[in-house]
Amino acid sequence: MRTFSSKLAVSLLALASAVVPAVADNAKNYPGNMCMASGAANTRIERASTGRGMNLGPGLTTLSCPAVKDFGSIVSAKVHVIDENPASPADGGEVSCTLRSRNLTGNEDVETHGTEELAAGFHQGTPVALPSFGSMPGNAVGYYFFYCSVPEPTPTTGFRSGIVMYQITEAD
Amino acid sequence: MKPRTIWIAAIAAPSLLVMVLRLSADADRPPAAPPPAPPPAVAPPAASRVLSIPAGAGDRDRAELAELRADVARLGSPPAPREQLSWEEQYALDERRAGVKTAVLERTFAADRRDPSWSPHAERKLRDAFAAADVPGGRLEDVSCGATLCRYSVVFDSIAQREDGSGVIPVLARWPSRGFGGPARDDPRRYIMYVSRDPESFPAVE
Repeated sequence: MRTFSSKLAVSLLALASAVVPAVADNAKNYPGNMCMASGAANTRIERASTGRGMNLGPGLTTLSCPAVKDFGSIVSAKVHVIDENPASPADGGEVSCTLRSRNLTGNEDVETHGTEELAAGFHQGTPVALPSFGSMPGNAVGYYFFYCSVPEPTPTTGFRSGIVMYQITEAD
Repeated sequence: MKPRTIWIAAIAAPSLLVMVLRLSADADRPPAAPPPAPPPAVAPPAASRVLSIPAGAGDRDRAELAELRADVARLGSPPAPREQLSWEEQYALDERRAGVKTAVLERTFAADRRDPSWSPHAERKLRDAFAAADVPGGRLEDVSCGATLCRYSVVFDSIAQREDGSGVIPVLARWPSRGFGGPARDDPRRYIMYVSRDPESFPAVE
């Protein structure tokens, strides 16, 4: 009898794990050329055929990068950037991004990371991932976007900085 | 005993053992259930198709089976539809959540002692960032940092200016951090922001 009960329990547990729908994370990637310049400054954004969004303007530019809010909240997020400006962060030579979860009442959660946190702030031509963004609550009537600060090209070399792609992973 | 005989015995013994174990397991198995009916187009909970109660099972087994079946049916059924909130209700829900979060952050900030090695430096960075942001109609009213959490507020001349200016107010901290902010409850022209020393030190308020 005991054998029967054990087998029954094992069978049912296996069955239950098979029929319970898994709560899956939902990751969406977006190309950097979805980002738009923010503010009224003189901006010039190259939306490259490679899908990147690069700052070709004369100064530091902020880019607003929209994302779809399908589910309840953010599990994690990533941004891949190119930082070819060798200036120090204090001189605006850093690519930094803030993940923003905002609602219509004006409240918002934010998390910020920048290339200063990486081993070196100057990464010629090579996309680098900013440190991962953690979980963030969503709002019932809210939306998400990345807000990135991108330095201007280096005048002498023409090295450029920008956003390659970004990813937001949601969970229900 | 010859070496060849030893080899044959060494190979045959495990095989024999496996066969005996299989036969033993078969003997222990309950009588075979009739083959399950083909699944209908919309499958009911799987347990009702694949499990049967063998002859000889007691009342206790039947009760246990019924209970487990109910569990499986409940787990396998689609989630109950969520209550659809009206737009106003969703808006109010966000407001309530923000109020709770602000209260927690305010308490945390009040208990956060200053760190002379970091607090003045962070306050200066926030003031510099605000000055550089050139926020129309906005005045930086207060900036104060403890050891792990900063709080700053910006007062605008009008709610419309606050709405425009609040695009940059939440991102004045240009260091790796987390933050939360929003319009003050007692004065919607004032925007209050809390920002942490690093992402890990932001209070758990969810």
